[in-house]
Amino acid sequence: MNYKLVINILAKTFVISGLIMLVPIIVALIYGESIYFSFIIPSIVFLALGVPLSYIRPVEKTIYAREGFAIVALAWVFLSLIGALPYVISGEIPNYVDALFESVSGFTTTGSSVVADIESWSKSLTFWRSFTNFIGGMGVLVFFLAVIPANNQGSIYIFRAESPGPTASKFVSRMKNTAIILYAIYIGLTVILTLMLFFGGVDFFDAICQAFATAATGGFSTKNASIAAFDSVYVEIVIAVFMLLYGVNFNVFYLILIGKFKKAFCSEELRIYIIILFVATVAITVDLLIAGIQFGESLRYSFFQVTSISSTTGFSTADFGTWPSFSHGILLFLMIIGACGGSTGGGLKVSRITILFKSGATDLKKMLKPRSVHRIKFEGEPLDEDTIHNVRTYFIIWVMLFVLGTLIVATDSFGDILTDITASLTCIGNVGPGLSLIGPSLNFAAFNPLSKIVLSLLMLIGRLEIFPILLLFGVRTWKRT
Amino acid sequence: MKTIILGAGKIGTALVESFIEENQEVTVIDIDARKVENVVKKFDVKGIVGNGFEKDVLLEAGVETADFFISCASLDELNIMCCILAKNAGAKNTVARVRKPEFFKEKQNIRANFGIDMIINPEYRTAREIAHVLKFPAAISVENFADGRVNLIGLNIGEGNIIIGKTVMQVIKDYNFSVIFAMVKRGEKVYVPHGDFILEEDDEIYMIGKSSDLVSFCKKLHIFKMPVKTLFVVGGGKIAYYLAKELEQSGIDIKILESDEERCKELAADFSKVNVLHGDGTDREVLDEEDLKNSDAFVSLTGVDEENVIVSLYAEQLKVRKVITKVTRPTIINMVKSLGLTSVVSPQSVIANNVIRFVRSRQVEVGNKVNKFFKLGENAEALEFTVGENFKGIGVKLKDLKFKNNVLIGFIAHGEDVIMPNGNSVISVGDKVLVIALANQITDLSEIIK
Repeated sequence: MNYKLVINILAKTFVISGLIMLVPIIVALIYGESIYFSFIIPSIVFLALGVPLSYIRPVEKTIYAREGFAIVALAWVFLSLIGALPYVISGEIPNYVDALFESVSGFTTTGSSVVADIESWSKSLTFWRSFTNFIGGMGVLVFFLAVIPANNQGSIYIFRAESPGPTASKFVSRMKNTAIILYAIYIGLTVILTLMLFFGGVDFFDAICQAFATAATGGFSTKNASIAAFDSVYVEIVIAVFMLLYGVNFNVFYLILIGKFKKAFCSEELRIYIIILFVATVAITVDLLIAGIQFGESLRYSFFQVTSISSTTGFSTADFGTWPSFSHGILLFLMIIGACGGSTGGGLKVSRITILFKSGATDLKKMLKPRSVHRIKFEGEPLDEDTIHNVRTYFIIWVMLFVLGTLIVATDSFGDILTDITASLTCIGNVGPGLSLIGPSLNFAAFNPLSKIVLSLLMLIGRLEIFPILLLFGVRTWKRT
Repeated sequence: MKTIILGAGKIGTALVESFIEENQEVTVIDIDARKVENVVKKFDVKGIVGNGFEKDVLLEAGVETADFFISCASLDELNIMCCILAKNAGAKNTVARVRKPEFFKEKQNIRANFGIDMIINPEYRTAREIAHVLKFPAAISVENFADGRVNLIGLNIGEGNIIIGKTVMQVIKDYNFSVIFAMVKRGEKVYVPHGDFILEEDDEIYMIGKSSDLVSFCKKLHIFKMPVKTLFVVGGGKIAYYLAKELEQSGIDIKILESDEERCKELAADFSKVNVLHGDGTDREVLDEEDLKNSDAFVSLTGVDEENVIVSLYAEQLKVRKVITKVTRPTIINMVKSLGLTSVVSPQSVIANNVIRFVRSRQVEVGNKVNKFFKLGENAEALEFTVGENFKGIGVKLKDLKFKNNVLIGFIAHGEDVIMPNGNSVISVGDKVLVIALANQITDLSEIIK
């Protein structure tokens, strides 16, 4: 492990994070709120750590996979730890563990909350909460790669460690330009969304915060009742469509931007994602109809909830906790599958599920005809054995961590296993709400500190796709080469 | 006419043989002294041992005055480069062998950008020929003419066939067929049959006609076979690749058995509909387990002639309806046929036909272009010409033209119509005409008239 290099790059991300923490002060100034210190203190902490440490110059400047993982994991841990301070200093969440949970939930774009009454908060702190979603959506290190003047050799490892999906691909040959394009698409879509909400009659502050949470597929709303509070079909449709869009691989948007429409719409992952959304919407609509809800409302609620859960945003327009259990089952499946790779969404990713299914089917065929040879194709390209192997490994570890998480959370003795299972699932999948006692109208405040820390870890593991966080605990990771 | 052939492998040697039959002056270059020695001993050619990429070697071979430079070394890249060199040094026409699919699919580009006049791909041509036969399984060989509207098919007249002992005229009259007897191969000898030619058992007859007419002809002779629906291929090399490519859209269910696992994976990646199997194609148990018995057709395409023959014999024994055997040594074709394997393909003779068509069409500066060339045995050939203005017989009824002996007009394609000619037929400019000729080397259409 090249310590000097890791520290140097971490220090630089601290400086950037320190500056980002000053953004809510603008909001505080606009609304004449006097909680500057809640943001200035953490900012000073970041700068005090970052500025001196950035003078440690590495001899060897090439980043390898190990350094990439370490940088990304540590940057996210520190961001979460220090990003929790505004909640504590302002006094809105006095308990640090609770604040940390809220902070991790924000940055990892999970959207699970311990806050019961968000509407009582000051505007600037509410803004910070939504802003953590926005920062975490595309990733603080991708931002770092976009803004620093020259990238180190091997910065692709940082990109890979932070970008979701089984394969992270660069759009253009330079890492810096790829990062800029990603952020440009991300911010561009967010601006459009904000304006559409604003012209739909949503207050500008609410529009921008809602847009942040949608863009990141985070799900922190400024309202206690989430999107239901706006009580507008227009707002629901706009947000549902944008949740769907943010759940799509950003590669598709890039292809559209450069005019390769055919290639963009031929994407296999996109097709399967749309099919899943369609089938789930129809199934839940029918289930709600049977349960006695009118067709119009059934369709409205089911489309919104399906896009929300499947993109792993976690907004709600209805208390789906009261829905029939078949609908719950579908929502659980959507939580597991998640959004497309290369999007801001979480979950296992549609591409991984597709590859798992295809490799499973191939293995079954091979059992019947041992001599037949198959090559699994994804997006029209044959996959190499390594990728398939990685996807399977990922799936197995994901399931093991999810089960382990469930077990630890179950020590909380709520007496309700569905709560424990969905808590673990919603956190590792970065979704937000769960079922039963953590349904959309309830929150995570009742869990004990151990559960909260475990769930925070699961959120980080889910957001950074397992390996960076797991490798942090590996002894061998920290050995000098 | 001077020809330089670079590469004295199997294809190179086959080409040397055909060029010698064409009375060309041939020089052979190969880096392997033994191969050159073999060719020089067998044929009246000049041999040069050396690297064809060296300028001195090319000059020694007389590249500046060569009419044809054919590069058929094993590497595609080398063939392309040598053709560029030869063209720049003054060779009039260059031919490069390009076999790799990833290069071959860019053949238009290669021709346009590197000044190469013809790209030959024996594997691709062989696969095409196999595909034609599979579409017409009653035939032992199928050749397309007039853009696929007319076929020349070879049929084997087996024991007890109703036409044995009859004359050609009788057969045509009895059944009122609009097909033409083009050639008859009896043992090693080939005839262009007259009306009173008597057909015998074990003759190979070559018929010309539209495919619908040929189908009813075969039905009348009780040798018609239903179209192939399932195909079993042993050997997953380049021919198998091109064959699968040709048949991909045809709806035929294809199985390819290949012994190299890596190659299997490549094929599986290239074709999602093809069933690729990993196993030893010479192992009877494997063939039984993979249900060779219930396949409609079988093609053996391994790299070893002996294996192909043995596996084909096994398929024949299992009564697979159509068995096609690939052999790389043209000399053993007749021997293989005598074992009862009627459909035998050889990339060497396929490609030789292809190159000779090119050579003949380049020999005439103006006039009648050779579109297609098919050679049977040593001295019989079928050539399709596009009629130019300088043909002496334009507008004259066929019965008034004085044809050379052993020359026959197979069909006249006039615009959209295809006419099976009789004495009153007339040839016009722009028509496509098939000439069957025995012991005559025809390079121009006018040569068929005395």
